Parts: sequence; structure tokens; C-alpha cells
Amino acid sequence: MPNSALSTPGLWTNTSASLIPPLRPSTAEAEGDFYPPFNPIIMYNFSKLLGIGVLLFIIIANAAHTAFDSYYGFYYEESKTELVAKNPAARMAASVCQAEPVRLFCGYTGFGTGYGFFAPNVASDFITLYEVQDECGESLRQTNLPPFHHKESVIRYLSATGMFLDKITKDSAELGLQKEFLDVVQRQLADYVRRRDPAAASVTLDLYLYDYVTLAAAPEAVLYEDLFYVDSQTSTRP
Amino acid sequence: MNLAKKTYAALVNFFFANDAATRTESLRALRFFRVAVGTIVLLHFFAIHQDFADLFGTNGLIPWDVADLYVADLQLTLPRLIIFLEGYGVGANATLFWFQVLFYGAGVSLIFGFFPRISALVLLLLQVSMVTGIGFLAYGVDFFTSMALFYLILADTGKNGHPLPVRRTLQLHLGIAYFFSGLVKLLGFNWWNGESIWKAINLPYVNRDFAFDFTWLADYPFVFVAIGWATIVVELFHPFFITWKKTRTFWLLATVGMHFGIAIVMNLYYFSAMMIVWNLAAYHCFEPEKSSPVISTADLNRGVIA
Repeated sequence: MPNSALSTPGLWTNTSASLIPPLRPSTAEAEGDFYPPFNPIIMYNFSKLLGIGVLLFIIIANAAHTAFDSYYGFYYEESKTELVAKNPAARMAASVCQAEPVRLFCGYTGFGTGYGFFAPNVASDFITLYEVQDECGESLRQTNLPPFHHKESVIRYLSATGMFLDKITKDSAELGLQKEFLDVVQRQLADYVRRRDPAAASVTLDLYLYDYVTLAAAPEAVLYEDLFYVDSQTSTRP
Repeated sequence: MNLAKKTYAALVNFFFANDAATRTESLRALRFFRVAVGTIVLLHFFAIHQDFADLFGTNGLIPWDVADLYVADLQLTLPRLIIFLEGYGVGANATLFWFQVLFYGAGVSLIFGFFPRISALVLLLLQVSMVTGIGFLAYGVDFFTSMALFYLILADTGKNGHPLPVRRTLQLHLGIAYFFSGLVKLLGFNWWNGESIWKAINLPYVNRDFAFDFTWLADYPFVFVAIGWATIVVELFHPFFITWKKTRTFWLLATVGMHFGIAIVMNLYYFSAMMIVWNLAAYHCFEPEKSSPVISTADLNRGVIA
């Protein structure tokens, strides 16, 4: 008996002409008597469908994982790891994303990204202030950015400074060794500016959180911008 | 059983339909995608050319050994490649130089369709090794670039190619991405009251190129509330209304408009361009225009056309 579903027009036609030459249905198939049990095109299409399914599953898992992560990060003060552990859906998404083969695949294809796009909250930016000093400790100059040549480099730099948010959103117990790591990165940024300036004996990088007046407060506001000091790191010439 | 078979048949038809019009359209769409992605990748890479070594080399802004703590063991990265080749007497500068040459070469080759799938593979490996090496410097566009190149490895855009499965996956991928983006925005109360839009346009390093003054708009907060909700609606319902033929054009225009706005106000040109290209490749109608039937005077006289 012919399979009614599989006899849908177009189903038996080849879809990848470059890879598998089109198969013409045999006389028996054309007459609707039977279908061969292991048609290579069906198997080929099935394997492609399977691949697409796996890919979409990875996309959904990563999207859900980052959605849970950012939601918990925004609304809860408890550790995200604990909150994820309590939620079966979040746990499943996390376990898919953290599986070694998935991580490897995502590492080489970019599929490990989430799709928050400024959600649930627009993250605050940091203002960096580099103070360049000579050997006597006198200030030579101040600058907000390392000496880049391109605007695009600034965008990448700002993306990197986003990591310092952990300094103010996590307490020291939760930060643990990450605090030292962030201090090292901050010191390395200062070090980079010092190495680019022959006259500089030391460079101190002051980190400030940028705060802009809220929409609700803006009509009455006198001061629109404010800076909250976070901390400083210094790089000194060896 | 019948339902399973019908579902499977529908899926096969959705992903592998082989009629001439679908084939031509998907081929045109993926060719456009290939050229546009290749162009953006090259421009984006060129946009940091003087700072390239300082950003992605071993001893730049963030030294590689610091950044490497967050990189998986089996990940190919540019700094690891530099260190590896240094062991064979190839200097860091030479590696960086040939890396850039190869990047530009693969990009041009991709644009002109010269071994496009191999070019996409080479470009993907280079792109990924660059942005994962010093991963803190990566942002949204880098991920969409890598994913686009992955799709271009799969898509056969040659004369006999039929990249419909890739186009369909691209469509579903975009649907998932926007749905989650809209959903997470819906969960953030600052998106309901306009504060998120207000904050986004007033971040310290955005809106620099055109320097629009938005302060006066603070007296009309409903504008920001409306933009916030419009963003949520466009994103959350993107997979539904862009699939529906009647609303597709409108939704595509709304989505492209949203990204255009991000480009102009937030100056995220490459990210916006990449998202616009994804949307156009997935949903813009690339069908050749149907020629109107030729009607002869004789036909009209005979009353063929009522």
C-alpha cells in the first residue's frame, strides 16, 4: 500500500542536486505499488532534519539559559546558581548549554550566545579615568580611554569594561577569586596605557559607574549625570 | 501514526520543497546573505585594523594569559596560535600579518563566490579564533557574524544549489531570537515605563556621532513608554506576524526600522547592519517580478478580457 503522507508532491524529489543526483521513481513507485524501505533521499533528508532539529534545540537552550540567568540576576539577590538549581527548566537549559560537546560546538560557531538585547534591564556603563604620572608622582595628563585609533575599538573596549559590573553587583563572598581577577584586568588596562606613553612612570585607573538621571526624575532634575566611584588600580614602571 | 506521518511530510515540504520558484528565491536570498555578510565582516574587521594587534594580540589591552583563563581547552584562539607558531620560530607580528591577509582574502573570496563554502569555513575559524582569544572584547555582532558564517558553510549558493533548508533554519533562528528577546524585555519592568529606552539612549558612549538632544523629550515620557512597548511587541510577536504573509512586509519593515534606529542613535552600525541582513535574507521576497501578461488588441476585441 502506498504511504499517503509520504506521497506528498515534492517529497520524493531531490533537494540537493549538487550532492545527490535526482532519483526518478521506479515504475512500481510511479504506479503507487510500493516504496523502497531505505530510500537514500529519505534518509538524507531525515538526517538533515535531525541536524536542523539539534541546532534549533541548542539555540533554544542557549536563549532560555541566558534568559533565566539575566532574569534571576535582575530580580533576585540570591546566587543565580542556587536559583537555577531550583527551577527544572532552567536546570535543563543550563545542563544542555554546559554539556562539553555543545560548548565546543558553540565555541566554534557562536551559537552559545543569548538574545537578551538590553533586557531585562539596560546595563550601566563604566567611565574609566586614567591618570598618567611621571616619576615624581606629578600628574602628566588624564584620559578616559586608552589610545585607540578607531571608534570600533572603543565599542569593544566598553564591552570589556562591562565585566566590572560584578564588582558592584556581587558581594565579596560571591566574588571570591573573581575579585582578584577583575583587579588584575583593571591593572592590566592601566599597564597598557602606561606602556604606550614613554613619559609615564605610573598610571592609575579609576573606575566609576556612570549614572544618568531617570526618566521619572528628569523633568525636575538639576544634575543629569553622576559618577559613582568604584575603585582604583595602579600600574608602575618596573 | 497518520498524524506523525503528516507532520513529517509537512516538515519535509517546509524544509525541502523543490519547486522552481522556492528554489530560485532561496538561492537569491542566500546569495544576498553571502555577499552582505562577507561585506560586513570585512568592513568590521577593517574598522579596527590599526588597533588589531593591541586588541587581539598576545600583549595588548588585556594580555592573553589573563583572558585565557576563561577559554575552553580545545578552543582555537589567535593568541594560542601565535604562541604555538612562536615555538617554530614564527614571530607574533608575522602571524598577525598573515592572519589579516588570510582574513581579507577569505572575505573577498566569500563575497565573489569563489569557493564560497570553503571561504566561509576559513573565515569562521579566523573570526572565532580572534574573538574568543580575548573574549571580553566580543559583543553581539561577533556572535551573529560567526553564526552567519556557519550557515554559509552549509548553504550551497552555486548554480545548482538549493539552500532552502538553510533559509528555513535562518527564519526559525531569528524567530527564536526575537521571541526570547521580547520575552525577557517583557519581564523587565523598566521596559514598561520607558526607563530602559531613556537609559539606553543616554549611555555615556552612545549617540556620539549625531549627538541628538533628547533631554526635552523627558517632558513627554509617553514617547519612551510607546517606544519600549513597540519594541516588546515587534520582538515578541516577530515569529508569528512575520510568518503570516499579510503582515510580513509590515513586520519586516518594523524590525529593520528598529535596527536602523539602533544604528543611528546608539551608533552600533555593524550589529544593526548584520541584523538587518539576517532579516532580509530570511524574510524579504527575492522572487523575480512576475511579468504582466501581454494582451493583444485582438484579444480585447474578441472579449477575452472581460
